[in-house]
Amino acid sequence: MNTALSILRRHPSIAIGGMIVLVVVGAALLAPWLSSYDPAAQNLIARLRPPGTPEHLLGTDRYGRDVLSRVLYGARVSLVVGPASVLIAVSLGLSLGLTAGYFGGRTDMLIGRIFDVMLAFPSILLALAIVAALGPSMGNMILAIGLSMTPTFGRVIRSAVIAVRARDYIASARALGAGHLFTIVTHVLPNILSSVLVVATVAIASAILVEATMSFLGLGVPPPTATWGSMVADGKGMFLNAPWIVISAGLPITITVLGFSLLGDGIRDWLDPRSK
Amino acid sequence: MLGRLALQRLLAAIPTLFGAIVVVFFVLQLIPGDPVRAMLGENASAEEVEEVRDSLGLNDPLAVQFLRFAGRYATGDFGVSIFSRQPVIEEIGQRLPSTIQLALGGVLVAVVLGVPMGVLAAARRGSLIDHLSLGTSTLGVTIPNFLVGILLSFAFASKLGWFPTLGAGSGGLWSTINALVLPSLTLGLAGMALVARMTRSAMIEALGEDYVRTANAKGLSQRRVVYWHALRNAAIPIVTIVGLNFGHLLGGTVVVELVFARPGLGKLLLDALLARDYPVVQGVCFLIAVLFILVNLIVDLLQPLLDPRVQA
Repeated sequence: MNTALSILRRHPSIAIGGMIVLVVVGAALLAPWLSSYDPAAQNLIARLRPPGTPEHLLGTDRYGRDVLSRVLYGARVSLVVGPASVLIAVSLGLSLGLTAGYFGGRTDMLIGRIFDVMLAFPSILLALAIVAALGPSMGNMILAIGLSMTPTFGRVIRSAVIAVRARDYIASARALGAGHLFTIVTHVLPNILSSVLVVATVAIASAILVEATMSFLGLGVPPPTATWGSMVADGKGMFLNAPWIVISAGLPITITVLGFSLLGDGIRDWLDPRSK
Repeated sequence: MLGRLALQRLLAAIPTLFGAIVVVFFVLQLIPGDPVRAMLGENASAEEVEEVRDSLGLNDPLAVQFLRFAGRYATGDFGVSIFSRQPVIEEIGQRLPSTIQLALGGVLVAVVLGVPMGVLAAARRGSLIDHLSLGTSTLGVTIPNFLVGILLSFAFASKLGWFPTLGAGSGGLWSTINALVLPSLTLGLAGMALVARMTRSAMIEALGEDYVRTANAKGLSQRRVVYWHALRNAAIPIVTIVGLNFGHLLGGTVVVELVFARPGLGKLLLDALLARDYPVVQGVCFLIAVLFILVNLIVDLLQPLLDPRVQA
């Protein structure tokens, strides 16, 4: 407990980032209790009410939907899509990066080529093209963002593996008769986990940005599900008269992304003091 | 020397280009069910479906389809748009200049704002300027660019009226540049943040080198040491990050062109994605990959010019 506190004190990024993430997760979980409105329920009598009214703390949109409850429920989409797509990218990146870095040679070259090709497409384009082909849904979006981020992970993991691969304990394990799979699982994997953790935390931030962008472009989780990106797109044309819609949805995106990137930066400084 | 390097790198780019064709080809294969139905919608007649299927060559075995597709792409034939019936390459040609202008504007913003920010932060490490520049660059990568675009357009176009809110200008040079300012700022902001960070760390490293100590010992002014000695040596990582960020920038044009209603490649791609006009989607994606590969080729070739120690 004491050590945890001292880590937080020496790395305020972890404390601040972690706090932000906790608040956002809490808001998403407690959405039904924090707001009594159905995020999709329209009320055409109460259209475009400004924020601050007792019934609607953040006002209403052009269909009379409560902006606060849409923001709270929108957090759920970002918080599911972000980590889930990173999970896909990590699993694929781990299998490919480990194989490339551990075996080297032709395998490495082939996998490296695949990464090169994927990286020639901006990741948002790759994700958009995959979703446009598969059809817009939460699952397809997670898959698309995960696939588009795979080469970035694969590269990081590959270079981490190459560094570990050259160590003497790997050679000793092999000399003692350990098989490749055993060596990878017991000796390589534990030694690259910290790099994976850092990259994964920062990647959640970018995944949430990509999700918001896709929703903004109309290729995210389809309506009536509330997403932050689609709320901004919805409020964009009314910014002069009803700026609260764009701001209420845009601010949480920035804050959440900031939270995850601070957390990632902090963890990196903590695990690798030289990087500062 | 440089010519040989250029040829070498150009040849090395060919497998990547071929790979890009493979990726673009497989986007069409991802479509569940009948891609032609997906493109034309449920109301299309059987003849229409058959006609499009035939024009795309979808009745042939996969290997034949791919070879024909790759052959067409290698000769610059990207097929015909399902909706406008125009050749995709012509549609791209009409939109490309506007997007190139926007991308150059974005790079300009990233470099012109990012490099001085990073240099100042490195020269005055730990000062208020350093913290401010770190804060700005953190914000630059966390605010979604569509939000930046909406806010800039509200403040400087709607309220102050300095720039047009929408469109790419009415044709003249001044009008074109004027219409480029806000979109370029929006597009370049994230790049600026990355460039500032990279410049800062490259400069900190360069400022710690022996030749900087020598220059300081000779009594050269601080400004001359920072800009003449250190910045020249920090140039390679800065140019490299600009090149690597160029792909991200091209992806960002989709958002920026939507927010500012600019008729560019990004807008063409977005409309095609929403309308499921796959030949256009494939063509634009491939072209963007080619542009990205090309820019990084140029970055590679710039390196020996920036630093003679890099062997050409």
